[in-house]
Amino acid sequence: MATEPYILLVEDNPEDLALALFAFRKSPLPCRIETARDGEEALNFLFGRGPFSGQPPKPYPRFILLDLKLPKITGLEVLRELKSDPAQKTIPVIVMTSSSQEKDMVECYQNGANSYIQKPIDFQQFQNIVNDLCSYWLRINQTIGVPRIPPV
Amino acid sequence: MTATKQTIQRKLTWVIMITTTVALLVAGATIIFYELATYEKNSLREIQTLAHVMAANSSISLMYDDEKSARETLSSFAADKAILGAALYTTNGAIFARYPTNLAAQSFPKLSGAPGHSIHGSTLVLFEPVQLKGKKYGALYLKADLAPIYPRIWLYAGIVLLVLAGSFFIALLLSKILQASISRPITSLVDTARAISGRKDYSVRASKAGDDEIGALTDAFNHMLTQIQLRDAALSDKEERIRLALEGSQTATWEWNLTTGKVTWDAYHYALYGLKPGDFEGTFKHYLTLIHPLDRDHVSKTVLQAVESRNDFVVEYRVLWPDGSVHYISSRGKAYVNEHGGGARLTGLTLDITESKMVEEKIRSLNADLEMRVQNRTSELTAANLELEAFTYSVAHDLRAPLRHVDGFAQMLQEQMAGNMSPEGDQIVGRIRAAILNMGRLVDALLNLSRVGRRELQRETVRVGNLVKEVIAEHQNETAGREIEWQIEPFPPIDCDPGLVRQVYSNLISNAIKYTRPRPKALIQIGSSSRDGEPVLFVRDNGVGFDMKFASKLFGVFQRLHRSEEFEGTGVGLATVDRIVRKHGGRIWADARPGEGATFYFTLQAPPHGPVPPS
Repeated sequence: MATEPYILLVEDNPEDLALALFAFRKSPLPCRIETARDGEEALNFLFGRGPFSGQPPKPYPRFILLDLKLPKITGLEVLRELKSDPAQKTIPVIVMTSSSQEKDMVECYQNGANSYIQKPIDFQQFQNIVNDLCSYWLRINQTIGVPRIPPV
Repeated sequence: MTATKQTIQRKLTWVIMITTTVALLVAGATIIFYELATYEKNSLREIQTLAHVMAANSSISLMYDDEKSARETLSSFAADKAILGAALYTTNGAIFARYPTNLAAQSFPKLSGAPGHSIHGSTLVLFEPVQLKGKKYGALYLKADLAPIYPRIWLYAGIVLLVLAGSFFIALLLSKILQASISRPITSLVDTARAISGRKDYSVRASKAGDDEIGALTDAFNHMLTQIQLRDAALSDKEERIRLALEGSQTATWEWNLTTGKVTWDAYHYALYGLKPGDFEGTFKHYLTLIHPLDRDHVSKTVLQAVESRNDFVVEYRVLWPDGSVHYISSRGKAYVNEHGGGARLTGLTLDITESKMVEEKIRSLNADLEMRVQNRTSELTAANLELEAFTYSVAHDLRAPLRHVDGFAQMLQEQMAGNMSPEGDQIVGRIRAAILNMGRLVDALLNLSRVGRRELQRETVRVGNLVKEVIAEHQNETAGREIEWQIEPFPPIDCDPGLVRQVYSNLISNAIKYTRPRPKALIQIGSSSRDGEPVLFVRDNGVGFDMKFASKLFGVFQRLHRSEEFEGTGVGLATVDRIVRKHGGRIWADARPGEGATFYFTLQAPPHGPVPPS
């Protein structure tokens, strides 16, 4: 596994996945994207379980883009498990969801989410968000144990 | 018979008789004493005269010392039986002659020398000097018996007694006749009174005999009778009314004499306990046995407490009739004592409340039923709400996702085909994207509407003026390049949910900006007025307005009064405003004219007359 910085994208919907990958590709700060298609896969990947047995990721992703509505294990459960693990809890988790329900937002923040973003319908707006995310979390924000991407 | 028990006639007779007798006795006694005194005086004077004459006659005998003539002179006393003895004394005190001659010289007193008389019992003793031409020759002694006066006294007494007896009978006769004029009216009054007290007939009147005191007494007595009759009538009228009221309300009365322990029921009371008259022993103990065993202790405690504290009490309990049926009774009572703290009694009313108890029971069961139904409905509603929430959640999530995808792929297509697509193709993709964004706005607006409906109202005192200014600032991008005059009046503090009221103003201000777009200079007034003491808020514009005949459609979901080419919109904004205002208990209405602008009025609290019915 490469040691270069990457983003973990947890998204079950193929359309959303395709659009997200398209947007990240177009972002002025391209970055490698690892994907997980449900909550279980995301946790297996991060904790080195199941198919990823014995291979915990090294380094950790720069940030995790987490959908809430996921099959098997929901985004909230993934968040809860990550944030209760001493090592994993330092990874920034950005919740990205269709829901604008206050209840969801409150629960995410209570469980340690670092950011909460509602997916806009307008793709142009989505593109702007992706650009801003990359700019902030990859370049501006400092993460424990992972070097920043140096400014261009 | 004592004096107080004698009849008035006898008393009058006695008075007359005693008065007459005493008067006669006094008169008789006075006459007798007068007679006695006169007689004694006359007798004395007679004897003195006699002594004087004898002394004169004896003077010669003494002067010449002629004992014989002196004896003869003295012997003339024999003619008078009253003279018991007489003697002539010489100046030296020796007895010269005596009468009667057979009387011993020793039985005569010694000459005292002083002339005069003295009376000892009925005996008169008299000394008379014997003198002639101023020369004293001796003295005459005379002893006379006054006894003959007593037969006279007896005679007088006899006469007086005779007169007394005669006048006694005459007085008796006269009194019998005369006292009747006094006693007859009194007797008649007594007879009348006796008749009234015997027959209880107060319509009888005493007849009046004259205008004296007894006449006045008769008048007063008759007046009193009239008063009693009037009071009797009023009392029996009142009694009748109370009886009717008690009967009509099926109420019985009772009394418990705490001194004797006797409990008295009125006739109707027995029916309340299912008893026949006379089946009640008239004791508190027996009364308790008539009460349902489960209520007995409570009743006993309540009543005894009232006795102790001298308070009123009301107690409801069941009674067990002899036929086994259960009836509900309400009894209320009051304790009384007289001013000396004694004569305590408890008295009160008893009422059969079985029917009202049944009704109460029915109401209770209906209420319980209703409560059950409300609970069922509530749980149904809760379930429906949960379902609605799930639906809303799914709208928020699942309906938006495809829209997002369509828009995303349309843009992807546009970018992939960049340069290879005709201008018309570009336009078509643009339209697709516009439609999708519109759909997105609709979904969001509907979502908001449903959220507003479910949200709990959080009222606080809000400075609406500041809130309005903030909202206007938020709509800056809509007003860019426009000339708009804002007239914002001062607001009173308003009690409302600031988050929701912000949405109200956001919608109304957005509308005002939108519909004044054709105006070169827009005027938007925001303020409040007062109607019936309640603040009415308004937003007024000089925009295109609308026809009031469509006013009823203003606040319906997806209802629009303008074509979307002219003025864009979802048709959900005013519906949301309406829901927020209603949630506050207020109401919203509009006033407009085509081409002349529109004013939206709303209130944010329930009017004092009650809640607004749903439209």
